[in-house]
This record gives sequence, C-alpha cells and structure tokens, in this order.
Amino acid sequence: MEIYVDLERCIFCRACEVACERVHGTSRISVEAVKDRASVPVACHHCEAAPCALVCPSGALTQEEAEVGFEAGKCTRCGLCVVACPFGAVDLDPASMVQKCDLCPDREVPPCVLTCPAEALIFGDRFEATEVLRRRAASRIAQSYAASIGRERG
Amino acid sequence: MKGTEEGLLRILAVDEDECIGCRACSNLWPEISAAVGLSDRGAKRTIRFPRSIEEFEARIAEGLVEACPTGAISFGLADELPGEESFALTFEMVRCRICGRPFATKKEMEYIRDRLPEPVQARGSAASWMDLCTGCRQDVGRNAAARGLIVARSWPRR
Repeated sequence: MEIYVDLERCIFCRACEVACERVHGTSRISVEAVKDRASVPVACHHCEAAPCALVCPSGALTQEEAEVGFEAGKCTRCGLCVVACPFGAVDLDPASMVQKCDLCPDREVPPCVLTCPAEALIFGDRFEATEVLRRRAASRIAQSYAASIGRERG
Repeated sequence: MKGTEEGLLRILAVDEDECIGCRACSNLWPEISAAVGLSDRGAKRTIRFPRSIEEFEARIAEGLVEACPTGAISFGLADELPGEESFALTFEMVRCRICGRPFATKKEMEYIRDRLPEPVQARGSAASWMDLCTGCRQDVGRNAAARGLIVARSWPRR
C-alpha cells in the first residue's frame, strides 16, 4: 500500500499538510505550486531500493517490500537519510526526530488521504491506483469527446 | 567529576579519517548536543568535541560509540584531564548545484555514494540528484511531474 497522487485533481488547498501535522506534529507531506498552473504534493515515495534505508546506520529505517518503515527509538538523528533521499522527502530539523511518511500503520487509511477534498490522493497498491487513474482519464476523454460532438451539432 | 569506579576519567578520541561529519553524535541526546558543538559556516562544517566532560558516564560513552556510523569515536581512560579541553574537526561541504547552499559534507556524500547501487545514483534529475540540496531536489521533481499538466493547461481557451 502506498499513497499515489492524481495531479489533475490537486487544488493546492494543503489540507493534507494540515491533516498530517494534526497526527504527527509536523507535516511529512508538502504541497507547492508550479508556475501557477499545477500543484504537486511531495511525500516519501517508499522506493523499492530505498536509499534512506540503504544508508541508515542504526536500522531505524527499514525496507519492507513496498514500504519503508521508520522506528524512532533506533534513530540517532545523524541526518544521512535526509541527504540520501533523491526526492528531498525526508526532513530533520535540529529540534526534532526524522520526519518521513510511515503510511500511518495504525490506521486503516492515512488522514491525508481521508482529508483530501479533491480525492487527489489515492491509497492502495499500484494496481488499484492505476485503475483509478485510468478510469478518471477515460472519463475526461469521454467528456471532451461528448462536448466536441455537441459543438459540431451546434 | 564522574568517571569509572576506579576514579579514572573517560577521554574521548575521534578518528579524523573515519569521521564523516554527520550529526549523529551532536544530535544524540540533549546533554550531548550541549557538549558536542556542530556549526555550519559558509561551506565548512565544524564539530567541536570535548575531551572529557562530567556527563561522560558509561551510558553516554557507550551511546556515542554505538551511534557513530563509521566507528570513529572511542574512549580511553586517564587519571587526569588532558591539557586541551576540546578539539575540533572541520569538514568541507558540498554546495547545491542549483541554489548554491551547502547541504552536506563531502565525506557524507561519499559515504552515501558507496552504499547505493549505481542506477539509484543516476536516477532523478538530468544532473545527478546527489548534487542538489533537498529543497532543490523537491523542486526538480515537482517541475518534472507537472510538466505535462502545465502544457495541457496552457492551451488557449476556446
């Protein structure tokens, strides 16, 4: 299970950041606008060969199939995971613990996904996520096709 | 002053070749953060280590040795304090290729490079993501992800 993003739907409301902060104290997802035309949330990608877990010297970050887990008790806060993440998705400010999405293992659905009013965040495996994205893309094509037929008939 | 049961002092030593200038020792516990001072100035990181402090009891000495990712920290025993109270190691930092901000020590990046398979090192942006600070890595990823969407949304309105 992972969190996927449907960029077509993200409306830059940052409700996911607020939901994440409510649960963890600090938000582990960050949304920024790109050229005023799109907005992109960034959080841990849960990489297959996760660099953060490969460099973690204390075993706090662990690779478990499609998820990268984090155990705060083992963390020394050395900060190597922060500079090893290719996506800049791991944070460590001097006063806090490493901040990285752990997919909220104690919850059925992560609060960021539940909160997203545009349903831009999808929680599932990659097959479930691609099915949702395909269905939405097909529906957009169908809509624009219907609209163009409507215009032709005037 | 605390020390071993025999009244000896624990004296800290750091192997300069092994230390990569990460933040494990300075971030481990609040009482250590006060003693091990890490400061980033310009493109240099300096870590100042105490030779011996009151708080170097067994628990903290063991913790420091265990936390160090490269095994650079060790403790020796001595009757009295050495002449110098502290010593400092200085590390050259890598600047982000986009914004110029120093974001990690050269030795940290070497440590990371040694542990990653080659395809992972090359993944990401056109230049290697390893040359960029975390903020610029996010920006590069965002721009790449949004590229198609921005083109689609830039068509003139009908």
